[in-house]
Amino acid sequence: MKPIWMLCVASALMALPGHGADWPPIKPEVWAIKEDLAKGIKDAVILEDRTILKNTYVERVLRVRVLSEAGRKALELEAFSPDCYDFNGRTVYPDGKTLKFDKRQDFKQEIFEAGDFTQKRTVVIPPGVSGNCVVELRWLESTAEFYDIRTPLPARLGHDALFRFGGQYHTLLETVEVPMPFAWTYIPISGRTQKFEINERSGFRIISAQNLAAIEMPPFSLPVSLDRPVLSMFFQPKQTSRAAKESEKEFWDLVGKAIRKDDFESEINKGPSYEVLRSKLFHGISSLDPLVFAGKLLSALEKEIINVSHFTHEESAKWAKDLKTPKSRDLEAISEKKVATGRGMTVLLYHLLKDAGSLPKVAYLADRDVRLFRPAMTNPWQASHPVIAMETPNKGIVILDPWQRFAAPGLIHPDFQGVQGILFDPKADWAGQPFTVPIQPAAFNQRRFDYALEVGEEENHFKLKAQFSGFPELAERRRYDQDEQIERNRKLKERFENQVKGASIQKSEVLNANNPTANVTWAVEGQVETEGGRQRQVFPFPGLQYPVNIPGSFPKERILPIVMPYLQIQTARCSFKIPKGYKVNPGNPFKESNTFGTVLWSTQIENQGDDQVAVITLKVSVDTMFAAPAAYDELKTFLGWVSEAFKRTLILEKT
Amino acid sequence: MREYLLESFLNLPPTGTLEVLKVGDAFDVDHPFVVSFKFSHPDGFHLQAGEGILASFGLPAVPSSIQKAGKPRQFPVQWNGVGKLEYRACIRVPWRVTPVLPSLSVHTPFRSAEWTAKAVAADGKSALELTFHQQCKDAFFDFNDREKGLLEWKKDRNQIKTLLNDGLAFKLNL
Repeated sequence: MKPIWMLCVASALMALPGHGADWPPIKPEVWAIKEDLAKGIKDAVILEDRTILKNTYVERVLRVRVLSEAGRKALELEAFSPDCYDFNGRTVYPDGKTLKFDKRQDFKQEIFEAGDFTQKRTVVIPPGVSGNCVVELRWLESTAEFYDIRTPLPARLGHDALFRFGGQYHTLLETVEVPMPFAWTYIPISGRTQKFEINERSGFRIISAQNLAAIEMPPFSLPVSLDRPVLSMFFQPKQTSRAAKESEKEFWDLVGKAIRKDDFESEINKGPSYEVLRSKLFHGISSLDPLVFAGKLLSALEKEIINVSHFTHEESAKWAKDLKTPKSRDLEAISEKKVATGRGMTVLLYHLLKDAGSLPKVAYLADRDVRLFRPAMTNPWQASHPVIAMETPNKGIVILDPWQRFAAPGLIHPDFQGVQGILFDPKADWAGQPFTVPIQPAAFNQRRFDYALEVGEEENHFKLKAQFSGFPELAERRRYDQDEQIERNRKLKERFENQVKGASIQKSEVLNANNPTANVTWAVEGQVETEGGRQRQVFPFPGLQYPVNIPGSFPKERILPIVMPYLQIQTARCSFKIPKGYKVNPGNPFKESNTFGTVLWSTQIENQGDDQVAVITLKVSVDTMFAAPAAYDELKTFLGWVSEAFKRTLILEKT
Repeated sequence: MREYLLESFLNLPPTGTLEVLKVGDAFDVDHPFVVSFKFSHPDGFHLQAGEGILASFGLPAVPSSIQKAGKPRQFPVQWNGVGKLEYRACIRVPWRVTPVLPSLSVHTPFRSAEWTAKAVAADGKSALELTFHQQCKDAFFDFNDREKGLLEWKKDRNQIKTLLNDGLAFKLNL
């Protein structure tokens, strides 16, 4: 049964006056809300989050009860777009004092680093937010115009929006209110337990959800598998709207024929510059194998054309601010100016392959972190990342993705792997066929770390060389390629100083971060204080990164499917001369394996002249990407092996 | 509390289990704040080279290094030592064992501490009785004494390392 105060608050909220009116007094039941961990109420409660679509603009209403200092984060809002206006809000304290605000400038702006390296997130914070207050906000946002037609959503949402209900904090009421009639298609999809309610009032269809539990993201899972209601809203073009009522097959065939074919074949402009580029590229490639040819063509293309979807430091320094990137189908301008967007590169590669006699297909992929492609859902835009797909008799479907600049040809970004995409066949009038994007094998994604250790009384000196392939190579490249060389080296040094406490790093060098023809590698040299004590111990892999993140704590139970980021092999090898007067106790050999992968640790003693050298190998392979929740114990066991192996030391015993 | 215990206190491997039984009232300043919990460690008494190594639960962590290896100290050393730790553990293991470190006294400018370990053997099993009493202390070594401060810090660090390396090690009497 729902608590009574929750129902009171929810019903009171829906009676709020329209935009611009005064805020009604805050009810005592709102102030009575307290943290209640048993009910999942912690830090803040979203009293109300309304999105009211009004065709030419969107009205947003957000009311938040902050319950603790940590709850102030609930008011770190995504930065307002330039299309937002008419701000109106107040921060109210328990003693009745009120701080009113009505300008964009009243909000404080902060920029955070998001994700691993280069991403930044800008947030805005209303004034006066404390650990015990209520903040109420309203603002408007203009909707976008495409080709002189007003769309019902703001430009930032494009023509395909997903409203995911609920969030980090307990939400009492969230709505999307849609005017009737409404030009676009919208499909509410309830969660497993958290359901939508749909009501009609004053010309609006109100799609709402109440008492949404705060969302906690368990490790190794996809946000799309969380139990939350989602409203999908999109533009259904005239060409496909009739087929949307027919069979799936008919719908996707028509999407190919009427939309995706245009993306690649309509109004293509080729001319003399294109011909010069084409003959130059073809001249340098001798292979007749269509797959090898396509891979080499993509590599050669990357050397000729600057793909503006990702700049290196050296390129951005030279890039003229006012230089416009040619449109993706203007292959002549792309060839002449030698610059293209990711989409432009894809269209160009498609035509070059066609001109070479290959018959590439075009696949559209969906980012599994954002949404899953569902063929039964008649949203033409749900798989939005175009790539070239080559079908081969023995290797199945091979993807070439020019958006992943400087990645190994054939690399599929892990976010697209193992889930459905849609494949369009130009030979069959762009008929669409759903397919499962291949999962690339562990051997494709490798990291190798070679340590040479000098074991001393007080300190151990180490020299480390790191090499990468597949996605780990791309990830390392992205970590460094937007910095100048000196900064790349500094970042690597800092990374090691953070990972190895008390380490003194003498040398750190990142190689090939701006060279697309060779894999990124790096080298580090440093020294670490030895661990004193009864036994002389050697830690062979200082600063070795874990192949997967190992969370500090695990939820007790698991209901979501398990998704490992990607299959991979990480090998670390360390060799050191055993100091005179000592022998190495190699400890028990370690080789463990289950559904998720294998963890191996082995020690060998080799005689090299008068010296004995210990060689330690630590190898981890991740062999499974998807597993059912029932495999949770196996996952924890696997991660336990990884963490045990990474903490292992060798004991030197006096002879 | 569960996350704190798992991440900062017990350092359990992923296959360990924890059940928080009771959490006291943190706002009741008239009574001690008591937390009761039950946990299991898949390898809590790790056998290695003729010894059993007990996983560390609740003993202080090794103080971090305050100076990079091979670099001279530039700044004073200051430490605000707050708190007192009373640690008692009674653990039964299915082997006859002898403590590697039956006692240890730590007296540094940063703390005073006493460690004792006893193993009472019967029927091929042992009951380990462990105690650790620690009083932290404030310490300050100004610019002129910074090298001395560093030296004292290293001594303190090594003592705690000895406690964790040797105090938790027990020779197997097979």
